Amino acid sequence: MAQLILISHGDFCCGLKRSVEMILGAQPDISAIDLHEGEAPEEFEKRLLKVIKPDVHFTIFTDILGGTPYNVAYRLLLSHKYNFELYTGMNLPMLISYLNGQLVKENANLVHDAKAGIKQISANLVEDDNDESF
Amino acid sequence: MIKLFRVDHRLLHGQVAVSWYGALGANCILIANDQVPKDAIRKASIKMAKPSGSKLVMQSIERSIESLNSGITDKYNLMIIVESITDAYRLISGMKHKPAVLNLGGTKETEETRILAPAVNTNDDDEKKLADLIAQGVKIEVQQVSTSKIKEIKPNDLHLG
Repeated sequence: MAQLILISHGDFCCGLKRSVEMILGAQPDISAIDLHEGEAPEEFEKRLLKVIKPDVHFTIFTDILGGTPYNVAYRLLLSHKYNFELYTGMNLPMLISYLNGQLVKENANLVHDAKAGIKQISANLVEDDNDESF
Repeated sequence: MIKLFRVDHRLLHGQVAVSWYGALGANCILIANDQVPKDAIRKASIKMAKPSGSKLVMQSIERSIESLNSGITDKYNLMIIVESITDAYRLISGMKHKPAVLNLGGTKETEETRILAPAVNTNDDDEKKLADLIAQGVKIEVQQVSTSKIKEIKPNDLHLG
């Protein structure tokens, strides 16, 4: 599987990796790099660069648009030195969609799937009496 | 055709099912269970967990046997999920064409069960049924998610009193 790097403010990325491993098993090709409290962007970038394998296409998921992890990754993207896809707003559905896509060797629509997982359940609690049959 | 025949006491459980569904290229899910069709709350939560775009049919074991034998399900890439080994045995016993593989995802732990494999708890009766299925040519495989390793259950793994 291609390399996927999760980056976030604090432990979110590490927890997200553990959560998906609970559902889909061990994920040796996912790295999680957490920005520490008070860590300088330059330091974070160094740690991020350490896990990147040169000359291989990879993907980065970040937690939030405009935050330090995102900004660091965005700068790397603009430098054109690395060949990667960059996504923000990561969540568990996005990650599962990515892993399923890798499995079936198709590019999933990660943004669509990440958004599709966001719903207010309590506001739409209508009884669905439509049972399907063969 | 049957893409997956799975025992999972959680039935359609969050992303586990979604992961199998995606990996198998399935387009239809059959929940074969005698209680679910009568239980509005369970039905609603299963519907909520269904992969988008999929056809989801929830019906009793008896009706499931009828559907499978009638050929009406042949046009689907079907994922069948049952709650227990007993239900799997009932369903397979009624099927004209037996599935090649029975996937064991998870069964409930009780006082009578032992751990056959991680997440798979079996009592003597379950193991007898599994042995019988093996004798009928059905391969028994333990596999949690489509990416994890398959462990095949052989007659030697079973306690047969």
